[in-house]
Amino acid sequence: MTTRGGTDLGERLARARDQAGLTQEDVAALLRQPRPVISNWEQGVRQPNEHQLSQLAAIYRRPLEDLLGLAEHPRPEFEQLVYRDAGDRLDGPAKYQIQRFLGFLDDYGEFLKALGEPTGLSEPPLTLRDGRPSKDDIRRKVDEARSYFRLGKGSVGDLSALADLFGITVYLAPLGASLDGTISGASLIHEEVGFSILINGQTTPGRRQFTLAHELGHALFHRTPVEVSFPGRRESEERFADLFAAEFLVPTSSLQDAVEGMGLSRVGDPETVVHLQRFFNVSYEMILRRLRASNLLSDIDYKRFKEVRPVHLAERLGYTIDLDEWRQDPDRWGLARFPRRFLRLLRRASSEGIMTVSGAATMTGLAAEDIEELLRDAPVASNEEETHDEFGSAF
Amino acid sequence: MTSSAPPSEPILCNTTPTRYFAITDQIDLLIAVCGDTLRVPRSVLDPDEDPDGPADLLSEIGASMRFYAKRAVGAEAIERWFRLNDLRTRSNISVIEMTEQEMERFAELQSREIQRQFGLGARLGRGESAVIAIAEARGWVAAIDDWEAREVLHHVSPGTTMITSREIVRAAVYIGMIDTGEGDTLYQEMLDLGYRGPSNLWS
Repeated sequence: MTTRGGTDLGERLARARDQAGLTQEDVAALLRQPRPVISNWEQGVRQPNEHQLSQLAAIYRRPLEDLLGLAEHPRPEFEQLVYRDAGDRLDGPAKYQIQRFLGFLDDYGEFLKALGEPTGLSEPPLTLRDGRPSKDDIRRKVDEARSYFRLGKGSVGDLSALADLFGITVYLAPLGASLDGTISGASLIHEEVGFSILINGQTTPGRRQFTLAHELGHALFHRTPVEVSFPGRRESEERFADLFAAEFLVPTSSLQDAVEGMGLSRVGDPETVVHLQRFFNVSYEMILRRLRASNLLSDIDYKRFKEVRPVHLAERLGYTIDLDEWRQDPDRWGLARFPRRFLRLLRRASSEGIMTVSGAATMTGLAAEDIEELLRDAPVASNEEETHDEFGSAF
Repeated sequence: MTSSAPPSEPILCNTTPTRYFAITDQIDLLIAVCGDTLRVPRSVLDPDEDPDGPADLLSEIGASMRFYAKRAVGAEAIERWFRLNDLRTRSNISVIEMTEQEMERFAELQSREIQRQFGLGARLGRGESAVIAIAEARGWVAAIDDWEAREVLHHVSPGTTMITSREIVRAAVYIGMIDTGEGDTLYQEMLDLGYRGPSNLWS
């Protein structure tokens, strides 16, 4: 297939793949095709069919028009910033998920414009002076942040919902379960959506909560357009965000109050650690570290309690265990990966006749059934009824 | 409502009619109304795709199957999955391959420019774009329910005939394949499953 400018489709496919940072092996794995198939397409030996071209357009985040040489849209630089910041931690499937996230933000931005909805948070609302913050500095900044979010001293609860209320977009993606070889999250400021956070949904709930708090630290205090998070980063902004997240999720004074409230001066059993973990809605490991850092747990007990299997213990203590704690199957997430505000607006837009089931399915990459579930009990827009007879009929 | 006879032109079905008639176990009815062959674009149904691939890269019917496999609850989910899976091997379902010109039209219809031109909440889906591109080029009938897609098709190709899943049920009654009561029951079942259309089959 050749179109305008004499440039072969195969060359355009190869260039788009390269710009997306993917190898032929990556694309072959995503499409469940042998690598020579991708090579043959790029060399013009064979041509992809309509569905395969749509798949490539999605993977490369290029409009199909661009792949066919009918148009040329500029490519935003966010993904290059993300890839550069992530180093070599992103494999092919993770890079594809980044593309999906960025593509969703573009669609979400258009959707917000179509609804006349404002952009989310775009500028950090709080300030931070340069230099290495002390523990007291961190505590003060956390106090400012909690005040900004109108939180008291206790558990932050559903942090994703909180972020949503303050105009921060949170999106889940399957970026790989092993943090040795992937990232835990990223954030960027999208021109039409505002501050947007990507969370690796294949990490544990505790890690996700920490990553979100970490990224909120960036949202509140930093102006960097793109941030990528993974364990071991030592840059000053990353260190601040880590310290911020720990204190924000489990304020030192709140932890002390909680332990005293249980009639203890120190924690001496893993059951209490599990209770505190559940109260603050963080990971078991994090509570252990916070207790030790606050001198509420001895080093010996810290080492001992690290050997405990916290989910099993929690279940024996009567806590309801979310299957999500055991495995993270992205196919089960459905609409849960999307920002809450987006889902609210989808329902509203559907009732007002601004968005169809198919449009929403296209934007989310989900099945129409997922959207129909979301819209169950939502009124059918009048134009959905009228056009059944408006445009003429074959019968 | 006009004539009781189905059109002579082939009918090209988008995902919604294909899906609803399949999950209500009435796919043979749809095929009969369509003239004994169900024609769909590959974006709607791709019998050659690996059904275990990334969900958002599947055909639209493939995505529905993933929903029933992973997210739907209840015994009906399994049944519906099998009914959709059955589509992949039927000999009376014809997957239509696009010409180069239809492919270009397919690409244009999914553009941001079309979205903005028509004030759509989102870009047109792959299934709708494929049905519009092929039906427009070949003078076929487009079986589309999505009202945004119908509006776009009406403006870009006023001469192309459209039908909805609801009209297909009505046609089945007119032709005598099912009686009025069966038609009402089928349509109500579609509504109960989430079909977005008028609350009544006839008014």
